[in-house]
Amino acid sequence: MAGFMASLSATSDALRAFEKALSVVQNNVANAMTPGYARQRLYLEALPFVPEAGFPGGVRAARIESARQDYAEQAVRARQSVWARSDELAAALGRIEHLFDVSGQIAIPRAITALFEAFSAWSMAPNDTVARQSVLERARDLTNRFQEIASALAQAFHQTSSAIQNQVAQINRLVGRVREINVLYRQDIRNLEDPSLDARLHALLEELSQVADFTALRQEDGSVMILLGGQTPLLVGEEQFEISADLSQPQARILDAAGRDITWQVTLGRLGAQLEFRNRILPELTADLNRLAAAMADVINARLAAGLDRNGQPGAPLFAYDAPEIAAATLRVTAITPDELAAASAEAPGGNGNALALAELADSPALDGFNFIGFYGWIARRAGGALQDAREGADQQKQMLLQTQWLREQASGVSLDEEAVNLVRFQRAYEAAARMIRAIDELMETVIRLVG
Amino acid sequence: MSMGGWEEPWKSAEAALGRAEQLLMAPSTQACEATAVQLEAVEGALRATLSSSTAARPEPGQVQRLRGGLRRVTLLLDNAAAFRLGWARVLAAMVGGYTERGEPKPLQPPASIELEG
Repeated sequence: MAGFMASLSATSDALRAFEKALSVVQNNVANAMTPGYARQRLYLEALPFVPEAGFPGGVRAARIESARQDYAEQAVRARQSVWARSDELAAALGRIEHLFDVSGQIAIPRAITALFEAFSAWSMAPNDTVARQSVLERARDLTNRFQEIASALAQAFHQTSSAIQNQVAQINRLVGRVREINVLYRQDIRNLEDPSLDARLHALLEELSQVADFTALRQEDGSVMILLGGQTPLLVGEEQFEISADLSQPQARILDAAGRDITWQVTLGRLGAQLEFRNRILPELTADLNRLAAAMADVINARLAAGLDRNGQPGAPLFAYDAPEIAAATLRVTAITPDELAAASAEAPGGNGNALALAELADSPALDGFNFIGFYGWIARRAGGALQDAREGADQQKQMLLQTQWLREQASGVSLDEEAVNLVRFQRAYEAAARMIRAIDELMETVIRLVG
Repeated sequence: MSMGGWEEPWKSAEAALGRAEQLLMAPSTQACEATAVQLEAVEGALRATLSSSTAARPEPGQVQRLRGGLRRVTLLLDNAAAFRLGWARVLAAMVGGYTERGEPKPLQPPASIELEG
């Protein structure tokens, strides 16, 4: 009788277990479209089978454990951070792309060419007032182009500063919402079994991974600890440590709750991209533009000073700027009059030697071995190359993110035995594919040599 | 197009590489096995391109595109492998613990036989 009763008990336990399994399935169906929701897997626990001791065996639903593997979630978040960085960088560079479009309206090369053409025309009619006036007009056009681009870069700098401020606020907001979930977990451990709460948590973490890279660690009480860049605590239990952005310096800084500089820890996500854009890319482009503006002004002014104007006086400067580090933004034409332009060389007053020398500057190496237009082209190529790399990177990372999301969805519901067998098969397939890739790569090298 | 030209095998290589890329977006074990087959087809098509009788060759842009495709396939394959291997290490540590050197114990697949037919 005891044995029969024990059997019944085992059966009812098993029934309850399968009932619970059914509810898990229903839950999965109902929540299939909820962002961040992962299939729940029922873990059946074997009970001891010792009838004489009153242990009837059977199975019991020991716990409904989330099938969401922290590993897969972390992998998706890591991919999100890498993709978001490339995507944001491509977007930021895309916003300034038109400034470096050599065929665009704002193009500096066109203005440089026009100025040197004006010098050339003037050299053929050195005493012609119209030709002299044309030089001044073209010079003004050029300074306007420099100022427009410098202003657009400065605007991009300020927009990026605002974006950094917003992203930092977004991090604090998202972490605050994860903190609310931590509070619920710590209030009642059964909340860990609430799939909607779990879905909310993972949706928040995924959103956060687009902003910055971090590590999320599940604690024993069920709460999630968040470490920015894997190092700076943003959330421990119910305690949140807010970060801030310091934009008062030329280099934007991210500060932890204690005011320490943790900028170097933020390399990925949209914030990582914005920091790179504001702290490195924009300053480099601006510095190169300033070098070009200052070099053009200095070289042309020096040449004019070496000549004689219409009144036989040493030539007056054509350009002025406030300081080399803000040359492009402050480049302007001086109060020079057409008569003060020095067309003649000091050796041949009344001639056109100096105007000719000015026209020849167009092709002279002036900066890093480039002439002025060549140097601008080099800046534009760097900006364009960075944009192309970022776009290609974003496309590739998007593919890898989609692939990792697919892998996450497949990460549950496979037995350990199947998992191990699959792994060995996968490894063989990987090795075969990798061998083929090496062979194809070698063949491609041969093709490239043939194509030249 | 004349027989023995490079265009047809080149197109085959592009198509096979595209299929490999598509397969790797959902990199199940079977998909990875099928990817290796597609890559083998790419290799064969490229060899046929190189041995084509015509003097003409693909344009640099076409070569760049194929190379870009190969780069994407490589990244996807490596990403899938890294994911699986990483998980295998976690799983191995959970199931079998660690070796004396602190490495997760490798997963041992169960002995099994498969019958077909």
